[in-house]
Amino acid sequence: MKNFLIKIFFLSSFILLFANSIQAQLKVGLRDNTYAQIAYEFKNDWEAKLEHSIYLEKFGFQKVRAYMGYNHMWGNFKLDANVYGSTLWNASYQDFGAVVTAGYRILKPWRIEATINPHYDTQYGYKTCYAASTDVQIVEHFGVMAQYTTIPEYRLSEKRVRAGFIFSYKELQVTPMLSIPVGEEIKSMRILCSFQYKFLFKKNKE
Amino acid sequence: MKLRVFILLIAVFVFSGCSDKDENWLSFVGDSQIARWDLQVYFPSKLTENMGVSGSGIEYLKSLANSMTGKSAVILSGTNDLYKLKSESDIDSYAYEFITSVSALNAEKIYIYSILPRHFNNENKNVNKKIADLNLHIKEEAEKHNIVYIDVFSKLLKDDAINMQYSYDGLHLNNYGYEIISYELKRYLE
Repeated sequence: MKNFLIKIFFLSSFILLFANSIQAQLKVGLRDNTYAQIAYEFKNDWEAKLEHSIYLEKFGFQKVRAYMGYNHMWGNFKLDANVYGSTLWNASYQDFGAVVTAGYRILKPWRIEATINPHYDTQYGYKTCYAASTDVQIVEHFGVMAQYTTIPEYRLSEKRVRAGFIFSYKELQVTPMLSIPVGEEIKSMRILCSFQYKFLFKKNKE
Repeated sequence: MKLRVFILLIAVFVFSGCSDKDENWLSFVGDSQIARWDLQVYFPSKLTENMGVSGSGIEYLKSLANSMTGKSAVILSGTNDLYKLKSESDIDSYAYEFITSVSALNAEKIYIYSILPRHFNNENKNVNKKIADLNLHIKEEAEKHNIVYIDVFSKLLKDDAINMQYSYDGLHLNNYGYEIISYELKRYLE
């Protein structure tokens, strides 16, 4: 109960801290069917994000994760670096890590990305996960993507290939995809969907 | 300044619930019902490993003897051995051998599911009477060995066969079926 109250206090602080300066970008969305997100981008390059799970579990077994990140573009090259920490509400385990993604736009509609994710789970231990992905914009509002990843979709790292579509219209982006296991030990294919909507509160510098 | 305050808040938030509780791995052992189970979806906050092998039975359980030290084991197996059981004494000795094999895994805690009802390829519904009888023997043996027995047979049964709402072919579970057996296990895990 004490842990729960402490978390409520700090979550409230997080919201209050930025409530008086919401002028730039606020993003809401869902990652992989399972994680509801709210993110606030400030000074164009910095982003704070909160993510909450929607597991098939009781509330105490839900996970909340906080990210702090920096992203910047230099011409066709993009860097996106985030650190994160998460815990279950019942505090049975925590995890910490960083997600660093480097992307390069080869042609105007074609982009490649590489991601490294050092990840520490207080029960499972340390693992370096990674992903390599590419996406191609076919027409104005539609593209395709493919990815090889070992970054956990839930708690444990699995080798998976993900392939899907990218639909975008104005500030909304929706990404339905298939997640196919490639390790012999895992047999379950997943249908996943992510979406993000950006609220723009003022014009950015660029 | 705000950035520093934010980082401080995040650090306190994350560490406020830190726990050094050492939770056991849950090893799921059995046949195709286990192999097809997306454990990360149904047990996202647990450390799980899927050791299901399609078509396997008691010989597979025997091959894993002493391999589960320090882990908890969840067993769902037996349906592929049903053809071997012709008489009441076969059922009795199979239940004994089954529980002996499960005990030999040497797991810290063992959860064993009842064998599921079936109606595969329009087979005779009498097979479910045999399964019910076998489950009764397995339950009795499990209690003797301090093994947790989880009855899902009665929850999946309808009109003397598997409820087709929970299976897509009369043998293998669909997502609704997995939701039921996951829920029943979680009642014991929590």
